Amino acid sequence: LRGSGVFEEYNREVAVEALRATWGFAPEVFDAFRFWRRLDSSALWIAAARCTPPSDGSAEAIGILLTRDFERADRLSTHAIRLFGMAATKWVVRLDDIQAMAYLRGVDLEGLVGAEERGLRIVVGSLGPLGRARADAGVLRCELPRPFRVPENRTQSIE
Amino acid sequence: VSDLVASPLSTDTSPPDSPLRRYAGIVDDVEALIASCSTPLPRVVWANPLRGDVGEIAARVEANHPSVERLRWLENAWRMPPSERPGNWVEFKLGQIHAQEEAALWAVPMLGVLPGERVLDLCASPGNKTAQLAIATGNTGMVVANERYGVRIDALRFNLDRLGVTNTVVTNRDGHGFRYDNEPFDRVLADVPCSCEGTARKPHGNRRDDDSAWRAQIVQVQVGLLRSALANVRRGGTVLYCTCTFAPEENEFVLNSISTEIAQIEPIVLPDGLHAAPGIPTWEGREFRADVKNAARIWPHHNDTGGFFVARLRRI
Repeated sequence: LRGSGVFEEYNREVAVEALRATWGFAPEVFDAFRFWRRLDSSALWIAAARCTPPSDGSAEAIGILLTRDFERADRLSTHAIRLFGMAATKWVVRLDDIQAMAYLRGVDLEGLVGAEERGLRIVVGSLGPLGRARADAGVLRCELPRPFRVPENRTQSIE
Repeated sequence: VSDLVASPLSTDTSPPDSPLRRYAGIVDDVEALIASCSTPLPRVVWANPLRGDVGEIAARVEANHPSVERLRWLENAWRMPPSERPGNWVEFKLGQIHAQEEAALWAVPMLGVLPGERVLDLCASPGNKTAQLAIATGNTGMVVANERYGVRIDALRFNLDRLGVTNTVVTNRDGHGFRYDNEPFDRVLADVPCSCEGTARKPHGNRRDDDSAWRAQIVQVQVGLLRSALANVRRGGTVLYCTCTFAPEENEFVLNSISTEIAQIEPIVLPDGLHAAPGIPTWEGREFRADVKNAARIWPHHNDTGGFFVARLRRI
């Protein structure tokens, strides 16, 4: 058995305000959820409201990982972006279907962010939120984890 | 259990060309069973309602992948040739579809989970059925996904996260003696480790043949897990016992270890278009409790699937 994890409910107002300030999420987006911090790490989790971890500290995970660092609301996980990304109003980059397919293959995209822009972006396509990218000197660098990427040899369209 | 450990598993003296011949007395056509188990398994995917409108997902799957054909007995699920790799599809990467063996796909609906309920999946990894449970609760109640083996937890979490499941707590404990703050669950799924005979058609099936000593041990594990499942469900709640094996030792025998005063085995209503055989009343001279006939066994040659066994028990 692996090491056990103790989860403690995280201050809702603090979490919601950080998400609003960073990504422009309306607070109501998180009405049906609660926030949990795993005490043996910095990770912040979000789970359906009726989910509660066991009191003996034997939980490995609750809901989905929101961010690996509870002090960094800008570092949303790919899972969190896929769940809530459509509700973000700041730092969102919208891709057409050809760009989206390239992003899903792990390709860095040029011409979508300004040369002076820096920081993380939520990437959205016609199929919904796709994941995270980093604006870096005019290039949108794909930060999609490898298991989420579509293999190069696929000829599939995104439509 | 001790009787079983001390006795040989089978008196079958047929040539050892296929270990499946030991089931000649309980299957309608053992040659068809053996022939079916030597062919590759068709792949099956289903649309995930947590990642969008299933109608739109269905339209996209059917437009992008002409090799798929709809399952006869389940909406928004498709079968395709074994050569397909749906795990590489865009829809899969986005969590809009999930791949699952057809014979295992029908089991979770038999548990009758309702939105908002508390559900326990005692042996959860890789999370296929856990995701089905979460969807059945409407992603609103609570599903506890327990997995004994730490190395399998990453796969469990990856699947749940990819599919957008938010109402699950993952725990890493032994299923025997499992308790969750002493609060009972409305439903419990006990999809226990087994000899995996029903996975023979998979490219990387885990089937263990002709290993009587191992089977005797695993039966004890299965009995313990079913007892634990029943200890965790509220009175009137339901437990679904599943294996992906044909062996009566791992199915009817395990059910028979439960007192009729603890739980009743309820009839299962199969979806139209899916064929299953009832549980068997006797095996190698051993007589089982009468209601094992309410269990259901999927033989691969009946539906062109893998093999599976399901029994639904109601806690008294």
